[in-house]
Amino acid sequence: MTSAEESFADFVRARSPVLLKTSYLLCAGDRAAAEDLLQDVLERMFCRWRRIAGPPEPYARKALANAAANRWRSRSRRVAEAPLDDVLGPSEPGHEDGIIARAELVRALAALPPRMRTVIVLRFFEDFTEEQTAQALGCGKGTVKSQTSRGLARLRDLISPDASDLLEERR
Amino acid sequence: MTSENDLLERSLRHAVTDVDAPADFADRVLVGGRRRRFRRRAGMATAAAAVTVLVGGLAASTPAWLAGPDSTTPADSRMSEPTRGDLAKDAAFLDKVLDRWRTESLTRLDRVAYEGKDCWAFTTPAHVHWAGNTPAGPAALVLQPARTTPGTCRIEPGTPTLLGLVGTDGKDNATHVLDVVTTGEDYTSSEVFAFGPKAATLIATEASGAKVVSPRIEVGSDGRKARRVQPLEFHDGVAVHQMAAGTYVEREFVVSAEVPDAQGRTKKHPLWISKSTHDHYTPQPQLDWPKLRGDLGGSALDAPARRMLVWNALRQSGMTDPFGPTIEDENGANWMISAGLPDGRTVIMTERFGGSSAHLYAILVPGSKEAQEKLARGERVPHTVVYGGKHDPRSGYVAVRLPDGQGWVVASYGATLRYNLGGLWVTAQGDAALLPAAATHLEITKPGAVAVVVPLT
Repeated sequence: MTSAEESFADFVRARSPVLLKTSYLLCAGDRAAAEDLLQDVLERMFCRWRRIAGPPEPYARKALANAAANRWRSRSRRVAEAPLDDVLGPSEPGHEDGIIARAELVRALAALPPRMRTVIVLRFFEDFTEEQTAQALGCGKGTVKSQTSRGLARLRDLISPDASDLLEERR
Repeated sequence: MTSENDLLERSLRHAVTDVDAPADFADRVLVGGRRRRFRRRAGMATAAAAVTVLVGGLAASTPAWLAGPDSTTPADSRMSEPTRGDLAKDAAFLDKVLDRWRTESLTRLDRVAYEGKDCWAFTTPAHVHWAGNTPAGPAALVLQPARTTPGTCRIEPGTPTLLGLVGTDGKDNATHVLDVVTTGEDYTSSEVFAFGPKAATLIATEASGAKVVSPRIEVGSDGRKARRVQPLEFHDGVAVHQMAAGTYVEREFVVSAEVPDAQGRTKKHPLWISKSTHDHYTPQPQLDWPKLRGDLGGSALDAPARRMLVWNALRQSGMTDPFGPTIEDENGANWMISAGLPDGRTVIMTERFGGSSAHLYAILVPGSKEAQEKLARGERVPHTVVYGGKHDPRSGYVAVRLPDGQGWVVASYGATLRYNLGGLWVTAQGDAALLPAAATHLEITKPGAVAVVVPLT
């Protein structure tokens, strides 16, 4: 293995557990799809590893967001996602613990259009600013604002009332 | 940030708590990545071949290098030279080397091919370029003209010359093909190999251009980084060099084609070293902090620009790897803390690696966006780098005292922080905070854990 491959392998070993979490949300809880998506992104990074300027993790996160958008575009013309009941584990404690139950949250995410879901994940999981999100997705800040606003509204509708009224637009 | 946003954030984080990569994930990525790269390289080889043929056609008086379909690349001139090295006359060893090469090299090459077997064919017999004794046992370098076979694999035709290292494999202490590189292309490995126990034995050919080796980065008490170098000595066209035990584990050794300047720096990337070993690197110590929260003010720059600023500031202060001329070469953590200081400056704190340890650095820069952008572009801007010392990531927190009474930068991912000021405990906002210079103690409470109090001295 070359030293470039070694450093790439080290990066994958160290950071793929974290990146897979983002991928999991971008794929709305479809674990197999999340692994495929991340693997695809990392394989592409492998080919240009020596040419990636700067730290690789932000690069990977942006690529992941973009790949998610492209993937969903093509998938929507082909097959439906795996039924959520197949990919979610047993139900978990929810609002009483100060969180929305995973099954409920992931189901709601799956009901969002792909780009809207990506915006929500980037803004609220990755903690991207509106500007960073716009840069990552190659769209305008206005689009990010409107997608965030509509996404949160959709989530309010999709999540049971005792949790949905807690979701407000991020300033 | 509102508590409502917090609910969504916490819920998203909770939803992924048990999501983890499978054990074989990295291997799958590597296999897939090699396949993609192979296809890409094959495509480039085809383009190069087309140009070569065209030039040959225009220069009508110039004959093709070789007849037949495999004539697109001239043979390596070393193919016609006699075998060199202290084992060059050891017929039994040379026979064993060529036998191993014939039986193992194609299988090894097929590992990087895409969807197929027998993706390579050898166009002429292999030639042992060098054979000699090394600290890792007898070894040989084998040259092999080859062509790809697009009929059986989804690859484009190409005619590279391969250079293989044959030597003792630590797995069974028998002679095997340890590694293969292709020569003469920009994206391939250099003709430099590290092999044997802990990959401590280096072999470099004269053609690699290698001049010096440096075993590790040394971090001084002021945080500056330096490297000692040893010249590579070539005999019979090859340099064999034994590194100190443990160097591989520290994974900071480099081979350079450039002799460092008076400041000990090089301008080019170190050469790529093909490492043939079953040993694994010791992972770098690292704080896995994906996100810190705090009411710190701080830099107006976005994260990529802040990273450039940090790198430029550290480089201008001699605190980056002197053999790492670009930010790509820098080995650092994934977190940064930036904070606005009482005197108007901005501090950015982060973690860097060197000498097998993690080190903390805090960079104090002017508060204006304009000045910070200048430094991010590499221009000279007055700044101060505070070396926070060697750091043990297992402690789970960082704390660095800033000069000029500007306070302390502290952080502990996911923890609740309080600090003691004049006998009173004050709660800090978030898990990263700028504390007053008069703070005497920091209390760190991780979720589900007992509070720990750390004196700020």
